[in-house]
Amino acid sequence: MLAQPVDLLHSVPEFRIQAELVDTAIVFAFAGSGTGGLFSDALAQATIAPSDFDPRGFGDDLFLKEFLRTCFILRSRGKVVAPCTSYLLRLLSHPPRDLATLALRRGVLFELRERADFAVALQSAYERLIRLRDLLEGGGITDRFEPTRRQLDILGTFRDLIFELSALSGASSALSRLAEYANRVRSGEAFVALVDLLRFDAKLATVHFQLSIGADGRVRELNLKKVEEDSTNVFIQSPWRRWLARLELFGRGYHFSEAEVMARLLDAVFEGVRHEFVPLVQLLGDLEFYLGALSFAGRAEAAGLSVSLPEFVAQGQPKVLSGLWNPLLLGSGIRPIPCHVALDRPDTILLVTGPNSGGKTRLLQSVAYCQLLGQLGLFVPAAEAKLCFAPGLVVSLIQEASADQTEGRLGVELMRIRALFESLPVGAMVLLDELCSGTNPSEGEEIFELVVQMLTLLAPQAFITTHFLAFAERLNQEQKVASLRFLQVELDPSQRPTYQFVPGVAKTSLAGQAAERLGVTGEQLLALIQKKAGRSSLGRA
Amino acid sequence: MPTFLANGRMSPELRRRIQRSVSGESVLSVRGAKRPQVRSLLRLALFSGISLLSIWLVSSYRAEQRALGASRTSLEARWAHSRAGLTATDLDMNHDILALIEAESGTYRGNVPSTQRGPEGTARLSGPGIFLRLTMEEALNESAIVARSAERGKDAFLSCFIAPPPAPDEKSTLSWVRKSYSAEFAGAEQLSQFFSASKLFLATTVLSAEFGAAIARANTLRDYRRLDQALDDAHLKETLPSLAATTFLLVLDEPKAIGSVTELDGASPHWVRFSLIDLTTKSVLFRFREKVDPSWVSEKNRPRYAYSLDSCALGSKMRAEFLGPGQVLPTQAEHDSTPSQ
Repeated sequence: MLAQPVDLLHSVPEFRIQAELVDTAIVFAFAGSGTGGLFSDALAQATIAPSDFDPRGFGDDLFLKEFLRTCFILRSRGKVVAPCTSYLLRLLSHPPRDLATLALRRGVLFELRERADFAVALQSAYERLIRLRDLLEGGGITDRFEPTRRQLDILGTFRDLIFELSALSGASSALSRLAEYANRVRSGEAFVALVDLLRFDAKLATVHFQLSIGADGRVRELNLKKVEEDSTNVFIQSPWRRWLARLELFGRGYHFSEAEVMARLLDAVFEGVRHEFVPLVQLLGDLEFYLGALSFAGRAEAAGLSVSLPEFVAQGQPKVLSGLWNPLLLGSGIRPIPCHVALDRPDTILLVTGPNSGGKTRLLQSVAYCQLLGQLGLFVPAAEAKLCFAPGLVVSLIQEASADQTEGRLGVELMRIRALFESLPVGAMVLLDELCSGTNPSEGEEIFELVVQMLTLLAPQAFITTHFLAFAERLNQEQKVASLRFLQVELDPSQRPTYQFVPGVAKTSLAGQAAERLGVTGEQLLALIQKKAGRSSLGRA
Repeated sequence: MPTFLANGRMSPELRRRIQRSVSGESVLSVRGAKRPQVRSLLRLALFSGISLLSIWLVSSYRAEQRALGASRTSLEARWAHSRAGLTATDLDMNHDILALIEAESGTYRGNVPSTQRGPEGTARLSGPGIFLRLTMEEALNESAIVARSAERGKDAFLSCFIAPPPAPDEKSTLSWVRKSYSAEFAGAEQLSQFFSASKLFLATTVLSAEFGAAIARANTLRDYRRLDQALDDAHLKETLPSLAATTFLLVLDEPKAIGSVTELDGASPHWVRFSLIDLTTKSVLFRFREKVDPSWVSEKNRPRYAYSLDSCALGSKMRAEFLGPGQVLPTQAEHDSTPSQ
């Protein structure tokens, strides 16, 4: 009979791992039969909450793996540990469809932010869980030579973990599930036996003795005063009975040793609690989800950035992203500059214009992460966020050429647009970087306008950057599309981008400044050529 | 199944799981971590085998010890019974005999005339005695003495010494010698009082303290059987009377003269020593040295009977020397009943 699931990610608790297989694997692992990857394999095959998001539409463009690697830093006893990456990646790319599940996750994180003691208890529990995983999966050389000691360590770690989880009693969020699980386990007969057995292992008896030391510091006399056995421990038996037990085991085909007696007792105790190990495998992934989010928040706050749990607003209400920053920049060690984005309604198509390297693409990434993390129930990279629930996310930020690419840049652009309309549900969020930049401006603008018009039919939350400034200005002037909004990169008096965004269409892309900054002005190029020519003539001479 | 690992202070569930574990029914056992049942059966078989073997060895040992004890008791009882009534002097008689032989086989110490002529001598010859005939060479070695004594059968010297032929001629002597080998011999009864020295050696060997020590040292049935067989082989019923002997008749054949002829039966001209010794006092009652020569025997009988005829003639002469002339002779009737050749 399997134990009840412990689920921190779903409103209705369920086993998302293959519980029976995991149960068998745990038995083998406890026996020392080498099941490396037990946890990661189980989590890799675990199901996740139903989601409307298709990670193919945004995973690569948002560099989710990089985000996970740099922002979800998990530690155990001060050392960084590798999370179950594949499981976390699937979780991060599949926001739940169920709003109750979303609320549950937000509740957990909210409580962890409010109650530092709970966060500490959860971190301690995670560290115990990591230790338990290592013991079950690993088994170093010494573990193989001392299987009984390893099994005692496993049970001891399990006991400590249960005690750690008990510290979450009083939680109002789903964290209370952990406390309920721990308390249920603790109240069971098998756990009492486990604690007794570990106590038996630690202390069979207490010996009181008196030691006399001579003037030279050497021991002169050793008097045994008293030997006390813990009579309350059910595993402590009289010496003759222990000897008979060993004899009995020998007759039954086991070794004639105290270690064999302990092995049988371990076997019996483990059989009583083994089902309670199964939920812990799933719990490891869940804890990494929340502890990763806490580490993300911690890292942001250490950099002077704010995170928050977003507010979800209904369609038609203003959408606000205050103190929005780019988590990928933070992950790469750059302190991003927060910006503010406010829209009168969510279902708009926002055209963003501005100079190159002005932060347009970073803005799109930040918005996408806000939406994604917000719908996952996690902290978003914004001091305050009012988001509208989106049934899907499509992000198209980069277009790298590949060796097997059969189409030219325009062809690829058109295929991208086609795929966008094939996969985009109504009301989803769309982020497009430099749409139709792969052809001549006049023809590109036509396609651009077509796309914008068609997009309006899907009522998306669209963010599109473009360098077709005149075209954007025309759309702004014409006001043909009601949902069309315009933001431009703010420039300081010296025409440098402030990485803030203000309404309107940019007048220039400041390509000259960029060219000058990168050494591509006429004078700079001519100097390069003359330098080369001079070196060439010198060589001939 | 109850187990010593569980106790009444444990919860029923824990007891049940412990019982399952030791029975090899727990999940760890069932899933291959442990398979104690087969090992248990092997151990049971091994333990049973060792136990049975031990029981068999112990019972065999005890039975052997009982058999050894019984054999020792039986042998010791038999040995003690055989020694009953014998004195230390009796049991040491073999050494006396050997000492006397050694003394007589040395440089000849001269003739000793008989001190018991007449009826006294006749009476002595009627009592029990030991007879032994050896060559001088054999007399020098104890093992050879014992071996030779066992090989010697009846000797014409002893027969004719006890009961001399009626006439000293060749025909009468030969007839007498032949007669002496039969049960109807006139001196058979008196002859039966003289025992071969081999009987004495047999009896004293198995009745000696050394033999008793060997019984005490014996620790195997095989040893006891060997010792028991030695007692049987000693034929104490026949040999024990030899310990009552009071007279020792010793005949020592000196080496033949160099260059003399040796007959087919071994007879040759040589000197012979004869000693008659009182075993009680170890004193020589009569000692004589005489040369024998088969040349007086006819050509017809010499190759086959020269030795016997020489021996008989010597015996007759020694008797005459010991008892003196006119002492007991066979009756005429006894002579007549002897078949002639």
